[in-house]
Amino acid sequence: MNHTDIHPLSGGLALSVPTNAHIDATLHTAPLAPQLYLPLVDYSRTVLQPNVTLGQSVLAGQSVARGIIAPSSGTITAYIEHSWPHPSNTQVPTLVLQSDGQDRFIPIDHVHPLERIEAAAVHGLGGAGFSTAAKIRKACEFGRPTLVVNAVECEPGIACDDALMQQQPRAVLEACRSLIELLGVYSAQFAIEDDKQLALNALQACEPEQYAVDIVTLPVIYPSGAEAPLIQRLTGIALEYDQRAADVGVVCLNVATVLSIHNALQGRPAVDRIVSITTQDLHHSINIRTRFGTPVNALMTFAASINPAIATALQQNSSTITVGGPLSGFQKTLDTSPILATTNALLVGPADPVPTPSACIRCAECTVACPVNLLPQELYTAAVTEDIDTANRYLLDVCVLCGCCDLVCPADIPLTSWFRFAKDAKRQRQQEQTAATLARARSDNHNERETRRAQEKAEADAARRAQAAQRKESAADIKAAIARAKNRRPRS
Amino acid sequence: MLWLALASLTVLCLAIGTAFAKLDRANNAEEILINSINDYLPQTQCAQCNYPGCRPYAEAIAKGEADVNQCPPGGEATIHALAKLLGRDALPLDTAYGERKAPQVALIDENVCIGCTLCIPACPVDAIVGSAKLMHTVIASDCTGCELCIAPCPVDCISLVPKQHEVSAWQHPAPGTVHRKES
Repeated sequence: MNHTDIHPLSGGLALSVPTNAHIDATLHTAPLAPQLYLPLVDYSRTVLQPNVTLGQSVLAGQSVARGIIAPSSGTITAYIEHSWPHPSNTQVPTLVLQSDGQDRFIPIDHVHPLERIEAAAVHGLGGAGFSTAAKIRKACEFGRPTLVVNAVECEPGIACDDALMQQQPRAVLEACRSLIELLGVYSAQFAIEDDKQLALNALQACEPEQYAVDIVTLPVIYPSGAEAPLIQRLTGIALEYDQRAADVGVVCLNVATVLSIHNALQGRPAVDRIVSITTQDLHHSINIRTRFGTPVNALMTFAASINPAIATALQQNSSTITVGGPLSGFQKTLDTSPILATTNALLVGPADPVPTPSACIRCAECTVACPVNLLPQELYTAAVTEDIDTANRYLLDVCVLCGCCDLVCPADIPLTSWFRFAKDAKRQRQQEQTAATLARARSDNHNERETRRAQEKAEADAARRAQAAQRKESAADIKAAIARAKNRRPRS
Repeated sequence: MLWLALASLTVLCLAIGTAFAKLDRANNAEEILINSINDYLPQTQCAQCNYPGCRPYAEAIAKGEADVNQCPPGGEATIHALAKLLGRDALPLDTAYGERKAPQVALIDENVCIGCTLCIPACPVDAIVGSAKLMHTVIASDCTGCELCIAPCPVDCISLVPKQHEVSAWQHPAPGTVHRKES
């Protein structure tokens, strides 16, 4: 398949890295940190209960909480509140693993392949961090799924998938084949942008046809890698506003996740990922294979030791970094926050100052740029007034938070931040409503029961009173009879 | 004579029918109004409004006996929604009925609890389980944080704690507002 067969993306922006960018596609490996931090929070920010105790020795791949495994072998030394890479800047319950340096693995030997993937704690490495086993299970409910491998690096400055494909093309293709076999499908659609010529060459050299992999090249338009637009372009299936890929029987997985699945099927748990470390100006980028739980500052020190440009950028701004790409990332203090499955990139150096927004002039540039055909200016008005009903009418749920509207807005309005805010407000309101419905039902039950009890008690009381009155009456009768008898008895 | 009788009967029947229909419609309209008001109330059943629960408060609002600003847990959002529904003015929350608090749940100190069962009927949403002389506990997911179990406890073993871990409740702030301090 080539460009001409693919539905064009409506909207989106042609972003690219600076032409003089120096991207180092070598895969470096970060040294194993002495202390690994494991935040016990899942992708929906629910706090999880640990299932290990303090002082317990664990092996790499051993479960420490639901869906979370130890990334290396060692001892659990502490259970603390610790910072984590999240825009909230909050602290979450975290297990500290003192690694013993021996890196012993627990074998993953479940018979069922999906159980194996689940036990290996494979999570999406693209950015959202969903449980991969759950995703596959859901997509397979509808029979034979469609397999889409997503190698479209969404934002400039993130090159971890690029580096992986350049360095290990055969492993990537083999992983695709094992996933094809697992799902029982005929082929995989492998989406990649056409500017990744080196990765494309590397893959083509390994004869992807042999692996039943159909490579689809897409023109470089951000955000081609977002799930809904990608699926529409590759399969022609348009997702409804409340649907995900799995809901229509499409397994859409990031290329690194596919490799992770392959490793899990071979018995190796998912303990690491490739992190791109890029300067804020996107001129220099390196890729480091890093264990989950590695403190960000340790990784940064290692990155600075192998790349002088990053060392310089780090010297210029050693206090904050951007976690994620230049569009979707957020500012974070450079501390011992751990690397997680969702940490695909870190940007170092001073960030551009945020411009002061002015009033919306209703130019509709954002509508043109929106890749999912929304009306961002209308959504913005609804978000500012916290009018969730109106925001729903303008399909708030469809927004993929890509940031295209921010980039084109001549008034510098932080539209995406407003949509993030509105999405959270909506979620909050839904939770409150669910809780209120439940409380109302329980309260109705309570009141009904208490009324019934009171009524029963009143009835019982009345009956008892009647009985007592009767008893009193009969007692009086007896007394009267005795009196009569006494009176009748002749005195001696 | 027969026609007269028939005519008068018809008129009588129609009159009675209309009267009943009017009464019924009036009852229905009031019922619908009460339900719509109740839908906007937070269902904590905390009785801070001085009515024994959310529905009694809704009834009082519908009758015009109570204002829309007596519900601290509902806060501004509830006041605005009710004002819009009823075409009344959105007054600020009357703090005589209490302040709006962050979501909270009751927690029983199980070492101190003597198993007196007094808190169980006090809970308006049946979120406390336990039996005489045995430990009681709160089902956190069902607790509305209404504080009604605090007063009946003779050993003061019930306290209120924040409903969720701070990170589960966190929301992206509106742009332009002050961010939380760096941790």
